[in-house]
Amino acid sequence: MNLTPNFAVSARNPLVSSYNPADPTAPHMGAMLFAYGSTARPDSYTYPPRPFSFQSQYDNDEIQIGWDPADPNDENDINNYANQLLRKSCIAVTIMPRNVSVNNQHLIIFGFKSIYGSPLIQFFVGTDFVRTEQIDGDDQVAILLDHPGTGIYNIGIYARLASNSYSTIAAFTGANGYIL
Amino acid sequence: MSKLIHLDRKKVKGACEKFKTLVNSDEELKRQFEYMESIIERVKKERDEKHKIEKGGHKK
Repeated sequence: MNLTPNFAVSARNPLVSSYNPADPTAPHMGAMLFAYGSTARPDSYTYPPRPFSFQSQYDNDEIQIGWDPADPNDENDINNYANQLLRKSCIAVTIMPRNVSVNNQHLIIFGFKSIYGSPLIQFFVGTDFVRTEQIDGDDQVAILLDHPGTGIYNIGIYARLASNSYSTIAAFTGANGYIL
Repeated sequence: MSKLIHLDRKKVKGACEKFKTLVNSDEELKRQFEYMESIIERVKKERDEKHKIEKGGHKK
């Protein structure tokens, strides 16, 4: 069975809404993408070129994050939002589901690519730590969330780069979301 | 799909409410999140208006 995503965010499409004015009561989703601590170079300074450049990121519709990874041993909930997320190499996808019920679930598939070193991605929902995943080559991590309840909820998923090496780089290649 | 993380309702609800409290306690964050919501609302409004015009255009 093929599912059509309710939204897809990426570097070139950081703000999306699946709202259809012809069917305003249907379940829909607004989604936004934020990147903190991203990294780019005018060129890779190497031959053959490595995919570090501004141009390659634009061409591949990806955002590279790196040079300020978190400590991989720090798998704690966030107690300083600015210092531990916004001042780190981090991707945030905020979803704004509307007209959904408590029986719905949200499936969000994050794409990441290992660019340099051995990147780990630590996932958080809001400021609560969820899990760390190792990124191998061109990789995907799926997060399935139960819709939290009646009323309006905006859900922020944070993906923070972690590594023992300061020079580790990962690329975020986009996130697709589905209302199930 | 080898990497699947499931978050149950209790976990998501708890995290959302904790985050909402954090946002409401910080004026700068609150402004940013209100702005985010307003952008999504603006997109909806623009689509509604466009839809209304398109529907109106079919009438004689």
